[in-house]
Amino acid sequence: MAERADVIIAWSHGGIPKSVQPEFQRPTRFITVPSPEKWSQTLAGLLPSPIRGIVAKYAPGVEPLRVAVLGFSASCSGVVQMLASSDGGRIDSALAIDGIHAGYDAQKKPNAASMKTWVEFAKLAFLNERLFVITHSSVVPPNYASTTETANYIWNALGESSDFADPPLPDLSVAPTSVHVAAGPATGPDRTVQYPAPPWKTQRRRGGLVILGCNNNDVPRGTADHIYQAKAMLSLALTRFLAARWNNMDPNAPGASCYVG
Amino acid sequence: MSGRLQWLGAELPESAKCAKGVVLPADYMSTTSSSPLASVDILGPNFKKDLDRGIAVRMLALAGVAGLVWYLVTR
Repeated sequence: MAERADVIIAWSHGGIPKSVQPEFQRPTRFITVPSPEKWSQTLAGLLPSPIRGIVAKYAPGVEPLRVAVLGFSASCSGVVQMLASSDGGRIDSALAIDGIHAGYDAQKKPNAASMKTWVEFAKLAFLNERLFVITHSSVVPPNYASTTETANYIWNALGESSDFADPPLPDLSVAPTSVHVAAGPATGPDRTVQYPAPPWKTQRRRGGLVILGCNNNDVPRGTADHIYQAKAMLSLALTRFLAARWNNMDPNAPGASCYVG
Repeated sequence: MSGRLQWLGAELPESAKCAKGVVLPADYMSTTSSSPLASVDILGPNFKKDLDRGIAVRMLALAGVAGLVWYLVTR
């Protein structure tokens, strides 16, 4: 008999830490898909139903119950392709860790066409129909919209301009840590950056839409701040939001779920 | 929450509607149906404006009922 389990799909560029896996109290399969050479090819061979394709390939014998997709940095490209696919309506939760980027339009705003899928999912989360956690650093990339700009775009697209949390956010404390950056042409000098606590910039929530923004401690390059997102914010999003949501809902209880075939 | 959507006059497709968590059916792996997120676009670009309008309509209705009760009690 097939195993019924919740499924979290991530890519090897920002996988699911083993340390967070015990936080999921119901049967859960953690799938890490190898990062492709080109992100435009990440779902090649898996369409038209990437959930079916990925589960059949990486967790054979599993019948997925609830599905979450997790992206960090470039692997958010995989998340948005999943959302835009014919399986987009089946995804319960999406976690985007410092990786939602877009080109600029003529007004130097994030390109609306590139943001459309993210905004559509955000609408559902806004209405508490889904969970969508976005975290971002304050790194400023060259010639395209930063994760700060795209997060603001999504929040503003839903008509919100001020920061608030409704319902209130859970405890967002993170243990002190540090990030070491090895010297290199792109990374600058060898250094270790301390993070006694998350350098919070914004904390926003409306229903199932959560946006957590951080300032940079590693000025001016921000390399450590991007790594900190993977080291701290990724685990925080998985444990405080996704595990909390899935642990709190019994998908087999009458009236506790809706079935999307 | 789905009641709120109907109240807005927007009909969210069944494939997208779920305030309790999205669960795939037990025979999901052997079926071939699709569930595109794009269908959610029915809410349209004026999503928040529509939402606010819905709230305004409800407030107006509440005010009307309160006024009627006040009139019936005080006349």
